[in-house]
Amino acid sequence: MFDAFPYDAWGPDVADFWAFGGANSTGTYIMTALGIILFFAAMIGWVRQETERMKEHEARLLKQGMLTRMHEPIPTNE
Amino acid sequence: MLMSVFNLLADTASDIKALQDQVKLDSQILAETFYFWTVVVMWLIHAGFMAYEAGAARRKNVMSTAMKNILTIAVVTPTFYYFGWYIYGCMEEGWPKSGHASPDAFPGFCGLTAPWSAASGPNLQDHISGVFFLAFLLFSWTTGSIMSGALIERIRLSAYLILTVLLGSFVWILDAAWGWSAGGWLTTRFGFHDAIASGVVHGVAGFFTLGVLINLGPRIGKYDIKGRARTFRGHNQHLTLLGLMLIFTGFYGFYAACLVIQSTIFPGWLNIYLSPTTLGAIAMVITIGFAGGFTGGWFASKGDPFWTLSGGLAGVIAVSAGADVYHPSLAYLLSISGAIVAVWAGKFIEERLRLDDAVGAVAVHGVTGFYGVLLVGIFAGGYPTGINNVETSLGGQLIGIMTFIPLAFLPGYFASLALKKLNLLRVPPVVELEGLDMAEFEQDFFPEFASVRERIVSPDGEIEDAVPILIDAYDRSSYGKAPAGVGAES
Repeated sequence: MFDAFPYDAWGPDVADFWAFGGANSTGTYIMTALGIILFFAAMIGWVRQETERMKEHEARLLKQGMLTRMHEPIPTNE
Repeated sequence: MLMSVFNLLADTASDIKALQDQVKLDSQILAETFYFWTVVVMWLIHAGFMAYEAGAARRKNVMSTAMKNILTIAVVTPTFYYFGWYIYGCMEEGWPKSGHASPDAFPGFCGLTAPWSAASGPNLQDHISGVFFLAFLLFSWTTGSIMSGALIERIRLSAYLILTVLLGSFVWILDAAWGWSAGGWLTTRFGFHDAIASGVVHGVAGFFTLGVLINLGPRIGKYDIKGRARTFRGHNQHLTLLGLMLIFTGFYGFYAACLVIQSTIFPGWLNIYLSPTTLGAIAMVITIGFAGGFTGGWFASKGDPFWTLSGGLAGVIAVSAGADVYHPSLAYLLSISGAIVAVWAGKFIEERLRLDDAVGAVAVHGVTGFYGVLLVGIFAGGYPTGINNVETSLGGQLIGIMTFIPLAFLPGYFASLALKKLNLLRVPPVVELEGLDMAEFEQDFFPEFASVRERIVSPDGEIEDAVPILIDAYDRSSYGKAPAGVGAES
């Protein structure tokens, strides 16, 4: 039975260790700012990517005659 | 002799202190484990939303529908971490501040909700903050996903993501800070009582969605020239019903996560306002709420499978606000009424307001959510809510409703209006006709199944070939005026 912790108590250096600094430190502020910037960049990317994709697809459909195609079966991957 | 007695007492005191520390640690770890598992169970809500909405979508829109639910997690998680949790922790008094000091239920809580705080990191001294944050995060996903189903088959994925961030990481959590926290001004001043979030999650998500639907418009072909509603046939109603069952299962995690427990600090289970309750009480109400909701939904919809199960959801939502105080017999009656209200509201929204809510989210969540808040004022008036025992009242509940409806509706309306003005809200009409999956992913997601022509249910209940109806609707709408080449041979 394991009824005792076989090592010395964790030292403060273990308990306090955070990658890139501790709470309320410059490192944590920088990580937070980078994350927020990355998130907004991703949102802009989603909007732009979809806008381009929609424009291209719409143009292709109009060129091909979309309403004629609607009478045909849905295309498959095969 | 005396020394040995002192030594014995000192040893005993030391043992008691060690025992107290151990009990405290065990209690914290038990609470940590409890909230962790509520989070795991609540994932089922999102698996359920995905199945529910994908099943309700036509074959040509299945993956674009499902992807909305998946990416809800991708966008609400970071924004709730960076902004939403801080709003909850620091804006209980309202912004600008209401001037009515709220009791500091959790001293220093505001400082712990910043993303760089000690509570947000791998802090060996804090077992609770991380899992408590995660429980709220899952509430946020749920709130964002409630809107998702209503908008399917014509909204742009990116527009939905922007709107769900606004709803899931800003709007709902602000109303939660005001009326779903021990120190919120609605709680401490008016005794506002919405224990398991009928209004703060469901009602707010429903009315935000209503604002979006007004700007988004109906799917092409939804209404005939007389304004009568047609019904699109979802590609797999069994999948939809399975999704609802998964949501129901996840709701048990949701309900449990709305309670507070930590045995060395509190005397037992508490609701979100830190008033005493039990896990058993709310589990009884949710279970009998489903039973009543299914029953009400069945009879109000004359046996329609979709509305029978949606009635179960509406039934639970109707009794959630008072789930900590209702007797199960009362909950049964109220949940039946909640389902009936949802079915009637759904028909009113579709047929009279002519808003195309693909899954009845505004009726089931929005209308029934605030109906549930109102019921607490009627049936649980006088209940001392929160740490300073402010009596719940019909007036207090109405103030909460009047606060939350514009708080929800206006951001949804104006944000979607802005997207519409920028031409970023809705997919191009020809893309909508063909189906979003081909545009977004360039493939059909049932490659080994033969495709059949799309069918639609007319206002008279006849099942008809959808293609000429959709083309006619396209031609009659303003969309048809735009591209001259539509319909031309290649």
